Amino acid sequence: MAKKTVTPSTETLEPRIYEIGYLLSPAVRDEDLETRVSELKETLAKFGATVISEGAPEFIDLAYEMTRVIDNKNVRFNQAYFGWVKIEIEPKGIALVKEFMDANIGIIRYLLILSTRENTVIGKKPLGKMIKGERKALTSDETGEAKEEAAPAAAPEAELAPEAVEAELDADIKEMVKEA
Amino acid sequence: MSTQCYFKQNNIKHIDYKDLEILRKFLTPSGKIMASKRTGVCKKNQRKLSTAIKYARFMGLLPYIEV
Repeated sequence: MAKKTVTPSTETLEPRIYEIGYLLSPAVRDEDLETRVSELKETLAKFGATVISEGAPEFIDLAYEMTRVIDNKNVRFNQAYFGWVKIEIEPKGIALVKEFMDANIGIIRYLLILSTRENTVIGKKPLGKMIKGERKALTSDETGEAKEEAAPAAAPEAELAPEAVEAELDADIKEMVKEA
Repeated sequence: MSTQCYFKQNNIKHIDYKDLEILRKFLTPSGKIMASKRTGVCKKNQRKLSTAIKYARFMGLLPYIEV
C-alpha cells in the first residue's frame, strides 16, 4: 500500500488579516492613551504585522462587570477604553501576539478574530456615545414592535392640530360678526 | 420570490461585532438573539449574526442578559 505524503498547505503560511479588539483599563490617563496604543502597534510591528486600519480607544460603560486577576487579586471593571486594530500578519506570528496580549496588565480583555481588508462597520454611531440607558432605549425603539406602537401614537397629534386651528378661526369669525 | 433577509436586502456581506446599531435590531428587550423565523434572516447570515453578537457580548459591548 502506497504511503500518503502530507504536504503542508501553503495557505496557512500566507499572511492573513486579523482584527484585535481590546479593552484598556480605565485607570489609564487620557494623555497616556496614545502612547499605549503606539506601544501596542510597535510591538505588533516587531512581530511582523502591518497595521491596515484602527479604531482609537473610546471610553465606554461596559454592559456588565468584568473581573481580571491582577497580582492575585480580582479587580472589577465597569468602564473601559475600547479600541481595535486590523493587522496583516503571518499565522505563525499570531501566537506571539497572543502571548503579548495575555501578559499585558493594562488590557482587561481582548478579542482576536479573522477579518477582511474592507471596512466592515456600517453603523455611524460611535461606541463611546452608547451609554447604558441609551443602549436600553435603542433595544426597545429599534425593534419592529416598538416602531409599530410608536407610529399610531404620533398620528393623532398631527390630526388634532388643524382642528384646533379651525376652531380658533371659527371663534375669531364669530367675534368679528358680533362686533359688526 | 423576494428575499426577506435584512443583510441581503442591504447588501451587507460582513456582520461586524462593533456594529451595535445593527446587532441591536436582532435582540429582544431582554437581550436574547431573535429567532430567524421571527426576523426573516437567512440561515447563513443568522450564523454570522449570532457569532457577531457573541463577540460583542464577550467584549462587554452588549449584555448577556438585560435586566
